[in-house]
Amino acid sequence: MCYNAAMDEGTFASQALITQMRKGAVEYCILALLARQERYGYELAQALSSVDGMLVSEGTVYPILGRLKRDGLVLTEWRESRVGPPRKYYRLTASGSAALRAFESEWRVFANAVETFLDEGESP
Amino acid sequence: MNERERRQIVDDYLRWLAEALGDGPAARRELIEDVRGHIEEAWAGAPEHNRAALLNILERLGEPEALAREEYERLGLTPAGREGEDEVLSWAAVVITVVFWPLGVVLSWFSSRWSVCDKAIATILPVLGLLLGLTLSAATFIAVERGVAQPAPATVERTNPAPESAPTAPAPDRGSNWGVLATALAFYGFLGAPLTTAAYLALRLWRRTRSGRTLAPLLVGTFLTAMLLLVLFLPAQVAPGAVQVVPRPASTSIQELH
Repeated sequence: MCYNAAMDEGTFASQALITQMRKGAVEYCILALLARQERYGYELAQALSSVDGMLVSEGTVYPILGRLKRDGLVLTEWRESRVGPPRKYYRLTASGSAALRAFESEWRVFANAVETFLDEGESP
Repeated sequence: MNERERRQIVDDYLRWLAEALGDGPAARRELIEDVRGHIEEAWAGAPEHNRAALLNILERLGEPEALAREEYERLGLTPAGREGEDEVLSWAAVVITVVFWPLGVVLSWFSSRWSVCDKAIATILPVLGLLLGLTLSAATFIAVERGVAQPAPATVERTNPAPESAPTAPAPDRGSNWGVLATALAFYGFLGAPLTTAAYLALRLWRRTRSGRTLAPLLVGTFLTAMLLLVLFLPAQVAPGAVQVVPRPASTSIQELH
């Protein structure tokens, strides 16, 4: 029983860590999507929610976009759409590109390091 | 589903979101417009245009509370613990408003769960109640002092020595009723207005806090019952000693006629 409780606590802690990591990383995933091309909010929400575990729900992309805009990492521009209402397009700013490059190199080093230890743990 | 129904559902969702955001984030209008744009975009691209398709769009968007939490977190306004503190503060403000409304109302201004409009209403209501109570109490007091309205029946005999020659007009019931009504309204102003304010604040927390769905109906129910008891029993308490309008001696006017 105690063992189970401890395991639950461990699962809970790792879930909280994953949630925090995801919240931090999703901002850079949006920047990465915008590095390739300008996109509008709905398009970004669709792209992110097509991958499991990226967004809690589609709507949560908007507070994140708001934050990126306030931080000066993205710019917005309204454009007419052929099929519906005008769309607000997001594009990277120079500081957005710089932030993405910095995160990318840090992330690769970090992910490699974690992978190394996880692989060691798995080998007999 | 026609266009009017569709708009109604979308507006309800956005109103729910606005309520969940409360008065806090300055960027709430932009967020609400972004979400509206998302719904319109998804609707335009939906393969079918029916109620189920619209509800699916809203479900994928997520619960307004989740969006509001995300917004607060991204703004760095409510770190995990702060939200709970804010909720406790809000409920404390509601309860304290009943006991000592000036403190409760001041506390409500420190909570981000109510809009400025809600807080303004909560501030004005008990002040109006107090003014109403004071005005009616003063009016009743002055009326008694002038002998127009006096406590019945003790003073009736003393102040109304109707001359035998003059026909004595029966004490009109209207005067007595006016006294009861004025006293009841004065009591409402003093006690009822803070209760109404607390009920209003609790009602506005219904959807804005996690505990709102349980606590708000409970508190609003309690306040309404208290109000009902106040309305039912107060006049009964006031009636026996009610102020009663005593007519001036009829002889005065008759003498004047002569």
